[in-house]
Amino acid sequence: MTGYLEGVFVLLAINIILAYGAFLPMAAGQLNLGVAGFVAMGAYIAAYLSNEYAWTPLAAALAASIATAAIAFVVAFPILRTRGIYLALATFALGQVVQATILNLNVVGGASGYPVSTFLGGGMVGAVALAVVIVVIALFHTRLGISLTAVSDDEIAADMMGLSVRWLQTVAFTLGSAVAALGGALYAHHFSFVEAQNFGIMASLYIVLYVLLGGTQTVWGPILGAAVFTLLPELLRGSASWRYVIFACLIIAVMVFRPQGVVTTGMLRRLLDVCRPRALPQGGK
Amino acid sequence: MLLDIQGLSVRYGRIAAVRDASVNVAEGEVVAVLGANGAGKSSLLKAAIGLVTPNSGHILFAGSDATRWSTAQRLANGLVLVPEGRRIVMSLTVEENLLMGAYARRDLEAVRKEIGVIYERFPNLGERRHMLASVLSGGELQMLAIGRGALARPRLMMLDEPSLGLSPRLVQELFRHLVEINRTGLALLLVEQNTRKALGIASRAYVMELGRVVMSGTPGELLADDRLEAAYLGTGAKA
Repeated sequence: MTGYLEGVFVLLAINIILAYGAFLPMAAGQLNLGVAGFVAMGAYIAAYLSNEYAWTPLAAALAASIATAAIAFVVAFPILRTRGIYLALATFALGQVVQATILNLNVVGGASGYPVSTFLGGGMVGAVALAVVIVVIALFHTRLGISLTAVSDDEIAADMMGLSVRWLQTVAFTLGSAVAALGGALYAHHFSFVEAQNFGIMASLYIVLYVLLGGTQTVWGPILGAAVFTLLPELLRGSASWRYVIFACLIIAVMVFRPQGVVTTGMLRRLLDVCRPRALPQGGK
Repeated sequence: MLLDIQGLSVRYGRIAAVRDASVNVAEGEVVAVLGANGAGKSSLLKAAIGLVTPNSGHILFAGSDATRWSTAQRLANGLVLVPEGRRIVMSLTVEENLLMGAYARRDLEAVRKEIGVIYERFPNLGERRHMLASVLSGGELQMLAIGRGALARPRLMMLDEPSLGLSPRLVQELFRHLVEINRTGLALLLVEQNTRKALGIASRAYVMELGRVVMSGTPGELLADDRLEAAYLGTGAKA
């Protein structure tokens, strides 16, 4: 693989992980605009463990993911008291707090960035991304998946059937943050350098857009969204400076004509119906 | 008494939705709550299942004070609400919606069996079990909502306007089904606009007006009373 292709591939793998970080809370009906803050936490904690305690990249990434999950779980309680646009604002503010804190933390380089001493190859990044995809898909085939769909579709119905809405939302937020942190840790170890400026609101918006564009209803949406966002700008490279204009117009078009995202539950069912020979009895009216 | 609501009041801000209402249901009984739009019937049921917190009064269920119980606790003890507008989760399949009703149960073997019985009773649901609930018609959605409620294994099922939006033929079938499930020993508390149908299956009924219970009695007593029609302002009690 050429260096360029490998670079694109690694970026795709990381973006898919980050997309799932935003997808998990969104599947429970919460917009997390501070997701880049959790990516940053994962990146910096993992980098610190590698640099200061000589942890291997994977161990550091795993530990950073768990530590970030613990932090997310604690902040979930005040943050998830807010709803809708207020929740979006609260998570946005949280992301800003994380970014500002890192800028002032001289132990990890502050505003000048933080080099990472150990390196993680593209193959390993891809393998972890694949593992994340498999785990999330498996998770959505359990009761938890059904419950999260119920909560995001109709919170009152979920509440009425005895589902603990707040607990499910807390779990989704925590798991999402853990996944986002894992993505951040991989990023830090592959690119060997992190700086707080990379984890601002623009990063959060991009990650949330992967999911919105791909679709929030199914586990396949984030993969498609991340793939389009990563690959399309590269494919459009030929049209030079206009590529971002074309790209932005495509985003608007999708949001206008398919606000539920490209991949929807209904579309998947229809595809499955076409592929599968009709075994169900059709009569009985 | 299985359910004993005593002196219940529910306020939304400055608006009193339910005022000092007392309603009870015995084991295995069918009780109707009648009244015009905005009489407080839905709020009464919502308070009973724990979706709104009453400002005063008590809710006793099977002899225990359930006033402070969570919705999940009420479900676990055998109280379930089939809500107004059915509230089926449209992005889940028919079967997943049914499974939601059994959310707190661990005896999955029995759940499977009960789901099978529902499919036998309503073949349309069985044929569409792996399709999204959004493909169902209004009548099928209502049967799904009742099936979902039944899977919680309740002792008392509360239904909020189950006949709303259904054709006369489907209303007929709905009430036939309600009688059927009542015969299995399940008590019903039925909020209805369709007075005649509700009184047709209920052993007792309450009439609410502006948040208060203004009358109660057997269907015979209520139908003989002019005040029933007055409570509806002439909307529902006519033949």
